[in-house]
Amino acid sequence: MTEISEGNVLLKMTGITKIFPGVTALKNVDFEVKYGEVHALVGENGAGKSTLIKILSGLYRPDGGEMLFEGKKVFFSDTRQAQLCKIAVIYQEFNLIPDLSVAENIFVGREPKTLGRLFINWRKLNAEARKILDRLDINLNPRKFVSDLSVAERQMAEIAKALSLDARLIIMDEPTATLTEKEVVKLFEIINELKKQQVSIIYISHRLEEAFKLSERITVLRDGEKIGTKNTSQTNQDEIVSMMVGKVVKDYFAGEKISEGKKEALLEVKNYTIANHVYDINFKLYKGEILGFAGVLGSGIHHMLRSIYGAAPRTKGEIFFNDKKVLIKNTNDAIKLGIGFVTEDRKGEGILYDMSVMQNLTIVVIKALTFLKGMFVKSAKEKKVFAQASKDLDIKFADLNQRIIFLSGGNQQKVIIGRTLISNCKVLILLEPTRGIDVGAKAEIHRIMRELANKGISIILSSSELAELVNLTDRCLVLYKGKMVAEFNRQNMDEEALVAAQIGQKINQT
Amino acid sequence: MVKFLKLYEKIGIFILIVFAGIFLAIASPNFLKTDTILNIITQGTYGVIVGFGMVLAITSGGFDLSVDAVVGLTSVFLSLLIPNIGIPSAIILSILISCFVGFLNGLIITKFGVNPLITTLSMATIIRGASLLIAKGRQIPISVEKFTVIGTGKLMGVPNPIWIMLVLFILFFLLLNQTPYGRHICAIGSNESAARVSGLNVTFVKIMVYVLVSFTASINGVIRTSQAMIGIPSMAPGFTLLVITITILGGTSLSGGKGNLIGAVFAGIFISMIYYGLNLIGVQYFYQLLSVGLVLLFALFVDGLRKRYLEAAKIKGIKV
Amino acid sequence: MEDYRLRKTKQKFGAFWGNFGLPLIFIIMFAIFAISTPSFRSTYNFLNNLSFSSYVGIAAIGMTFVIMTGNFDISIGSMLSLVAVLGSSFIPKIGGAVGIISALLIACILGFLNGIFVTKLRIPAFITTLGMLFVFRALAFIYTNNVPVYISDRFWLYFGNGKLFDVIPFPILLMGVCYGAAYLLLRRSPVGRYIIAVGTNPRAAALSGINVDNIKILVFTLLGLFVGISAVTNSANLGSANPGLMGQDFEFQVITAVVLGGTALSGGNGSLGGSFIAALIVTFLNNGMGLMQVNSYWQMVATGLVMIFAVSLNKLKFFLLGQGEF
Repeated sequence: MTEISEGNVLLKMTGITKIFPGVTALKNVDFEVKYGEVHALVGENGAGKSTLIKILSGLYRPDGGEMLFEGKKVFFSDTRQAQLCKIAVIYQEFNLIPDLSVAENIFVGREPKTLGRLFINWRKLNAEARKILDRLDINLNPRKFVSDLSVAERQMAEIAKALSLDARLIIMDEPTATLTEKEVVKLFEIINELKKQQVSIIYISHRLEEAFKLSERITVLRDGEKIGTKNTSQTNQDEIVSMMVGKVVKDYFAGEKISEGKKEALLEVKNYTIANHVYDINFKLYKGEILGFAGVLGSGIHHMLRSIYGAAPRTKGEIFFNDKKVLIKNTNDAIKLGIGFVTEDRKGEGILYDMSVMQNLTIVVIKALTFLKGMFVKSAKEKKVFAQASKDLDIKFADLNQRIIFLSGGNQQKVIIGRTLISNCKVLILLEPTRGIDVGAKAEIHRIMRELANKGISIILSSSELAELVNLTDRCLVLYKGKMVAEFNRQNMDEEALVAAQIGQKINQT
Repeated sequence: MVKFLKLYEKIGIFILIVFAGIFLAIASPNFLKTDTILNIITQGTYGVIVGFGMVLAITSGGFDLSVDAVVGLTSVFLSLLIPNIGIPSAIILSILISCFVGFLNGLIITKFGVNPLITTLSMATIIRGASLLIAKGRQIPISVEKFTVIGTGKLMGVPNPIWIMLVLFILFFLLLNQTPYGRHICAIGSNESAARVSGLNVTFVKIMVYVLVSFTASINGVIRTSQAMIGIPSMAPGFTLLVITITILGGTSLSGGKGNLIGAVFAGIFISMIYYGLNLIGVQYFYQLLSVGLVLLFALFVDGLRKRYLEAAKIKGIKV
Repeated sequence: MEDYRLRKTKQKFGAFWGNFGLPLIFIIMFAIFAISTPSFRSTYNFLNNLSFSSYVGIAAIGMTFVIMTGNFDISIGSMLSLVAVLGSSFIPKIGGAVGIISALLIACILGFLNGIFVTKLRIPAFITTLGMLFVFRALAFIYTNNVPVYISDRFWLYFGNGKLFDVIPFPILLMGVCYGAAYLLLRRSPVGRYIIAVGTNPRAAALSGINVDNIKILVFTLLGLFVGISAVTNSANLGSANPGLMGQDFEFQVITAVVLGGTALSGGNGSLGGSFIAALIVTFLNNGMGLMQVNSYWQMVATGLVMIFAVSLNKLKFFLLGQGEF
C-alpha cells in the first residue's frame, strides 16, 4: 500500500456516538477505511461493532460525529441512501429472494429488457451475471435458484450482487461463521480478488486468525469505545486478544466453589446429535454447579440446549436424570422433571407481552394454584406465590397487574427466571441471561445465579460474554462447529484461553 | 421417499388426470369422443381463467375472495350497458369497472395494511350488495343476439372459451415468467422485506395483482353472461372455492413465491372431469360442491403430510 | 420534547377509545334509530333485537378465542346450518333434549376437525375453513335434499321463543350464561391463561410447557360448541332448519363483531365484553336498517364497510397506543 494521505481514504468516521436509553453503545469512535483495504473490526459481543455497522448502513442514525465518504460529508437517514453511496452490507440473514435465480437476484429491479422493454432479456441477464461472477472467479450457475444454494453459495451471490451495484465498500459481518473450511478458502480468494479491484472491505469476525490472514489493519472496540487500530503486520494475536479483553470488571459474586469430593451427577447427556447442528456431545452436570458453555456463532450450543429442554427435535442421544434414563418429548416433560429454561430471545419467546407481571410469572405453575379440581385459579394463592418470588428475586414493579412490557429488561429477565424457579426446578438452563440489560441488573442476575447454585440448583450457562463465564462458572465446555473442543475448570480457565478455544484454535490443556 | 415426494410435487396433477381419465373411459363409452372432451375442457375454462389471476395473487403472498362477486358485477353491467352503448364498448367498460374493484382491494391491502382475506371478503359482500342494488334485485335478460357468440361460438371447431383461455394463458405465462413485473410478483411473495430492500415498488406490484385478478374474474363474467344471455347479480355462488382449489391443486404454493399456471389449467380440467363423472351418476349440484371442497381438503391433507415427512427427514439428517 | 406530549395525548385518546368507544358507538347508533324510527323504540323491539343478537353474540365468544390465538374460522355459517339440520332431524327418534345434546356434540366434532387440520397438518386456518365452508354446506343440502326440517318439539322451540317469567326471552338468558361461563374460563381458569399465552406469544407459551397445538384444537372445538348453541336457538326461533338459508353471511357478522370488539386479527389478548357490545351493534344495525326500510342490498354494502372500518379502527387504536405501526 502507498503512504497514508487524505487522498486514499474512502471512509472516515470521526467522533461517532450512539446512545440508547440507558446505554451508550458508541462513545466518540473514530474509524477509517482506505481504498482497496481490508479492515478488520474485532471486539467481544456488546463491544459496539454491530452498532457501528448499522450506522454505516443507514439503519441507525448517530447521535454525534460525522462521516466522510470519498471525501464528501454524508448522512444516511435510511438504508437506501447508504446503497446510493455504494456501501453494501452482507448480513448474516441474507437479503436474497429464495424463489428467484442467482442472476435475477443480482439484477432484481434492474433487469435488462428486450422486445420494446417488455420482457426480460434472459440471455443478457445471465451473461451479465456470469461476467460479474467471473470477475470474482466464482463458479456458480447464474440460472440456479437461490433456494437450492448452500449457505456459502448464497454468500457469494450476495457479494456478486453488491459488486453489480458497483459497491465501493462491502461490510461482511461474520461471513465465515457457517462455512466449511473449503468454503472459507474460496471466500478468502474472492476477498483478495475484490481487494485487487480497489473495493474496500470491513471484515467482522470472531475468528482472529482470519483477521490476520486477510486484513491490512485491525481496529479493536470494547464497551463502545475504540481501543486502537493496529497495522496487522505489526501486531500479533496475543496483543489483540488482550486489547479485546481489557481489565476485568469486578462486579461478580463469584462465591465459593463446590468441593471436588461430593460430586453428584444430576444430569448426564450422552452422544447427543442434532443433524446439521451438533455431533456426539457428552457431558455431565453436577449438583450445585454452574456449568458454562462457550462458542461463537455456528457452535450449535443453543440448538442443543433447546433440544435438551424438549423445545427442538434431536437426531439421537440419551439424557439421564439422577442416573435414570429419561425421555423428554416436549417442554412439559422437561418442566415435570425439574428442568427450567431461560431463552436468549427475551422479546421473541420469553415474555408474554399482553399479560400482567404476575401472570407472566405464574404461567408455568398456574395449574397447581387452583381449587375445584383445577377448574379455577385461586387468586389469593397466586398472589402469595408471586409475592414470595418477587421478593426473592427483588423484582421491581408498580402493580402486579401491570403489563410486563412496561418493566425494564432486567426486571423482565428476573420474571422469566422466576417462572422457572417457582416450578421447583433443579436444573436451570440460561441462554445469554444478561444480554441487553444494564450493568446493575446484570450484577444482580449474577448474584442470583450464585445463590441458586449454593442452594443446590445446577445451572447451565451459555454466554457469549467470556468474562461472565470466567467469573461465574465452575467448569466451562467449548463447542466449535457442533463439536466439543475443550473443557476448562476453575484452575485453567481464563478469557484468552476461551477466546482461542471457541474460535477453533488448538490449545494444550494442562 | 424424498425423491418421490419431489416428483409428486411436480407431476401429481397429471397422475390424477390419467387415473380419472382411465376410470371415466371405462365407465362411459361417450368419454373418448372429441365433443365430450372439448366439452369437459370448456367447462374447466371457467375456473382456470380466474385461476390465472388467483395464481398471481397467491404467488404475491396474497389472496382474493371477491372473485365470484366480481363475476356478478360484470354480468349486471353487461346486461345494462349492451342495449345502450353496443357490445364492444359495454364489454370494455364492464371490465374496467371490475378492474377498479381490484384496484380498491389492492389499495386497502397495501395502504391501510388490512389483511387481504378480510379486505376481499368484505369487498365481496359490498360488491354483491352493489350488484343487487344496481340490478334492483332482478335478473336482466339481454336481447342483442350477437353477444352470445363469445361464450357459445366456435372457431375451427373449438369453442371460444377455450381460445380465450389459451390466449390468456399465453399472456399470463409471459407476464409471470418473462417480464420484470411477473418476476417481481414472485420476489415479493418469496421474501417481501428483501424485495423492499432491493428497491422494488411493492405497493404498485401488489395493487396491480389485485387488478389482474379482477380482470380475469370479469372475463369469466363476460363468458358466462354471453352463454346465459342474462345479467345475474349473484351469478357464480361458490365459485371462489373452485378457483382457489384449482390454484392450489395446480401446485401454486400457499406460502407465496411459486406460481404454477400450467398446473392450474390441468387442475381445472381434472375438476371438470370429476363433474362429468358425477353427472354420469346423475347426482345433483350439491355433490359437485362437496367434491370440490373434498378435493381441496384432500390436496391440503397430502401437502400437510408431505411437509411433516420432509421435516422429520431433515431431523434425521437426510438431505432434503 | 413536544413529541412526548403528542404521544401522551395520542395514548390518552387511544385508552379512552379502548374503554368507551364501542359503547359510545352503540348509544349513538341506538339514538339515531330511536329518533328516526318510532317502531325501533318499543321495549318489545328492544328485547327482540337482544334476542336476535344472541346468535351472533354466542358464536362471537368462540370466535374471540380463535382469533385470540391468531387464527380465524370462516366455516361457521355452514356449520350452523349443518348442525341445525342434523340435530333437528334427530328429534323424532331421540326427542328434543337428547337432540340438542347430539347437535352440540356434532358441532364440537366439526370444530375439532378444523382444529386438527390447522395444527397437526399445519394448513393455514383460512384455507382449511374455506374448504370446510363448502363441505359443511353441501352436506347439509345433501342430507336434507334441500328440504327444510320443521321443528315441532316444544323443548327445542323453547330455546328460541321461550320467555322467562313471560318477559325475558330465553336466548338472552342463554347468552348471559354463555358469556358468564366464557368469562370464568378466560379470566379465572388456568386454561384461559393458556389461551391468552398462546395468543400473545406462542413461542413463549411453548417454552412455558404449554402444548400450543392442543390449546388451538381446544379453541376450535369451543367455537364449534358455541356455534352449536347458536344453531339450536336460531333454528328454534325460526321453527325450522333450512339448509340453504341458515347461516348466510353468519361468519361475516361474527368476525366483524369480534374485530369491531377490539380483538386483533394478529392474535393476543381479546375482549369478550367488546365482542358482546359489537355483536349488539351488528345486529341492531341490521334490524334498525330493516325497520327504516333500507334496501337489504344496501345493508350488505353497509356490513362490508363496517368490517373494513372495524379492522382499520383496530389498527388505529394500536397505533395510538404505540403498540404497532399503522
